[in-house]
Amino acid sequence: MLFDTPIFILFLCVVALCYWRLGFRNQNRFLLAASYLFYGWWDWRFLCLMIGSTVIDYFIAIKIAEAKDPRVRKSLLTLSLVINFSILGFFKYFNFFADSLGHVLAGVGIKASLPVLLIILPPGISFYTFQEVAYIVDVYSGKLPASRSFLDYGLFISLFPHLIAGPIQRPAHLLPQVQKPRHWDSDKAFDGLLLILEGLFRKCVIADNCALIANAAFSGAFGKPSLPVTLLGMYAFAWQIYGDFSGYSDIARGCAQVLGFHFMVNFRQPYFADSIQDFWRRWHVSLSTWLRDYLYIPLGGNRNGERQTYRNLLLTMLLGGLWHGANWTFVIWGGQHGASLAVERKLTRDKPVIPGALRKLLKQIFIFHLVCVSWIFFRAQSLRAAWEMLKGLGRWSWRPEFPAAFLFLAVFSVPLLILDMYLESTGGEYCFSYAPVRWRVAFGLACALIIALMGANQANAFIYFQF
Amino acid sequence: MHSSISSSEEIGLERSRPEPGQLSSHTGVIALLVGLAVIMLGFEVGSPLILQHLSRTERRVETELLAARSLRPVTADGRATVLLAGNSLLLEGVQLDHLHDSLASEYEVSRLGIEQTHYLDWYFGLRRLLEEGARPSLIVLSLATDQLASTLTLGEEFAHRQMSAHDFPLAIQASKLDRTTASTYLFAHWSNWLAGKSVIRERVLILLVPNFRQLAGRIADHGPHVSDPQLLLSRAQQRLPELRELSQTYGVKIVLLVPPTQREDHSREIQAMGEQTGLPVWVLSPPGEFPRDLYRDGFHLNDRGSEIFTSRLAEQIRKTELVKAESSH
Repeated sequence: MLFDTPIFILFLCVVALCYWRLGFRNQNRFLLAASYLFYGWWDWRFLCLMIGSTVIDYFIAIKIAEAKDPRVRKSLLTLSLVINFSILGFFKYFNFFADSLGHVLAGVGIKASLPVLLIILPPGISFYTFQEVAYIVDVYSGKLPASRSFLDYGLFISLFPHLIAGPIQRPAHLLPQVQKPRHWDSDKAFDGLLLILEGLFRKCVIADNCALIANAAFSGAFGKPSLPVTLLGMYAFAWQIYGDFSGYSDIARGCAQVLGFHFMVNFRQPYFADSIQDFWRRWHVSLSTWLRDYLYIPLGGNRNGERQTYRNLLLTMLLGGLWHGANWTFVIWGGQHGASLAVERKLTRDKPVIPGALRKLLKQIFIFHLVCVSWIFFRAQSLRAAWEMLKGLGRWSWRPEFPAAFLFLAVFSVPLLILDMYLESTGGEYCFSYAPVRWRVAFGLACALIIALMGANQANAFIYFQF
Repeated sequence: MHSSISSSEEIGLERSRPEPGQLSSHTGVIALLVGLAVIMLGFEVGSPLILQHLSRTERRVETELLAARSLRPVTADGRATVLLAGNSLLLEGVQLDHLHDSLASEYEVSRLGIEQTHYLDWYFGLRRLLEEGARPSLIVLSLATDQLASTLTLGEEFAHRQMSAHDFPLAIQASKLDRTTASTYLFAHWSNWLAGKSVIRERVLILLVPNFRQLAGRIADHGPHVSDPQLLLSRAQQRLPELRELSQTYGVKIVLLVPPTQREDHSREIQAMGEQTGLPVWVLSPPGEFPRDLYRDGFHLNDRGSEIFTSRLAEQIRKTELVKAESSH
């Protein structure tokens, strides 16, 4: 079920109405069943895979908690990591590595016909795998007791608002919420409804409309890449992916709040970042902090000298890129961010920050464009296509429909920019967070009206669903 | 290193209690839900009126649809009725006035043209039309060969206007939809707003963005194009009998009209399949016969091209003796 479809709205209404009529344990039972229905709606076979993976980690965590011998504990941790990453690797990366190996072998003159499997990527596998790994690692390191209730643990993994595309929930944040009774809270529910409407606005109005321009530019509908085509494609995709993913995250957080949960914030106005490090503090926060805590720091972080720090930054971002998808374009995207972080660290280390509004604005514009260039790799179907788009920056062509295309893009990206400016200035989680209720009702209804009038025609799957 | 989970996130946003006279969150929830219901209801009830008011195309389609529903094999003055059904290739390729004038003495020609439609739109659309009582003597369905082989539909508009509720499972299976999209089709079948929202959005965008129409042609997603000849022919092999069966079930002669094209479209092979199947396929100009200067944009005919094509179509309809024979019953 996609969040922006009538069937999901109906599903959410029915779930919320039934859920608040039940007692605590029955609420969890009901939500687990609803979450499995939500997931199985795509394909029941994938549901079996997810349940299987959940059961394995549930028992391994209990065994880790019970084991006294450090070697046994470490073996169990390794077993869980091997199982989790093997499942993820098989479904997501098998063909990619087989294909890449085939190319490498062909490059050295060896003709090998490696098997290519017809595998469909189970939805949300990257997200729930990371959540399971976080849980096992936290139990192993003693930060969290192992859950003794499969119902609670199963619900923590599969709670439907975050199941398909996050935000990746930290066990220490969500599991205790699952384990404690929840009571109806009008403040939370009201915030939740507003978040859902703001999220739908970001997705249906901003992202889906910007997608039309991005798709046309990247598919060649505007002709061979040239400066206007590349700029259109790059800017349109930048706003599309931001509207899409932040919209998804807002809807997920809103649904969670309607059900009495709280999810972590996933986006904090990322295009106002004034450094790449700042960008990663604002963009997909649940992933960037996961990579920091479960990859960058275990690799040594910045504790073993400068050279090791640069290596760790690059490695973390390369793997972060590969996490997004089995394509070299994502590896290059991650690599570009890793290299930018390393260079930025080298250039700014031990240097005082010089204050100044203009200086900050120029830095923000520079970082926005650096991020936009990286989006070309993220969006392009292949490295060759990405390179062609980049080469377009040095070519010129003009079509009569370009002014309308730029205006169309402005119509759908400027409102999000203004929304972010407001959020940045107020520090709120969403628009009018601290305003009187009547203003917030008006904001919610305005969102609904604009969605009804301007929402793009066809329901497009959220970009991060494919990851 | 920053903390990803701030204290405010741990507990949610803490707010002070509302001042006296201010609305509480509880009232806010109710006001919001009531407001949403009013907006939805407003769009649901208002959409048909808005569409009729805003869109000439919508008015034309509704008028043509109404006229098509009331068609009987012969008119009161004894002329056989012909329904031309198709998409923009028909709308721009056949001059209706010209055809009327050419055939007026023997035939009453009506048209039902819906842009961006493909085979499934028309297969289920014709089923619904015939179920609702339409009985022209002849239905000429105009589709390019790749449109005949396509699994695309017009989406929510198709679900609302052309698909009947009991054809829903068949339509979903034929267009290979996932459950979520399928459920949206089901909602759209009953909802005026879901079916009409794309037209309303387009009108708003025309107001906001000058030259939007020109841009829309460039950025519209026309979906995957069937270019593999094997797939094209195998789909045609499966679909021509479906049309024949429809024709036999309702006793209405149906023919497939392939519009002119500049490239090889395998229309000859499909015509041969039609002969074997018993479903006439009219190829009035072989691929590449019409030169480039008879097209407006490489696909749609211009005035000169449509004049030539319309003359050929009139001649072909006149030659179809069966229509007259059936109509005389």
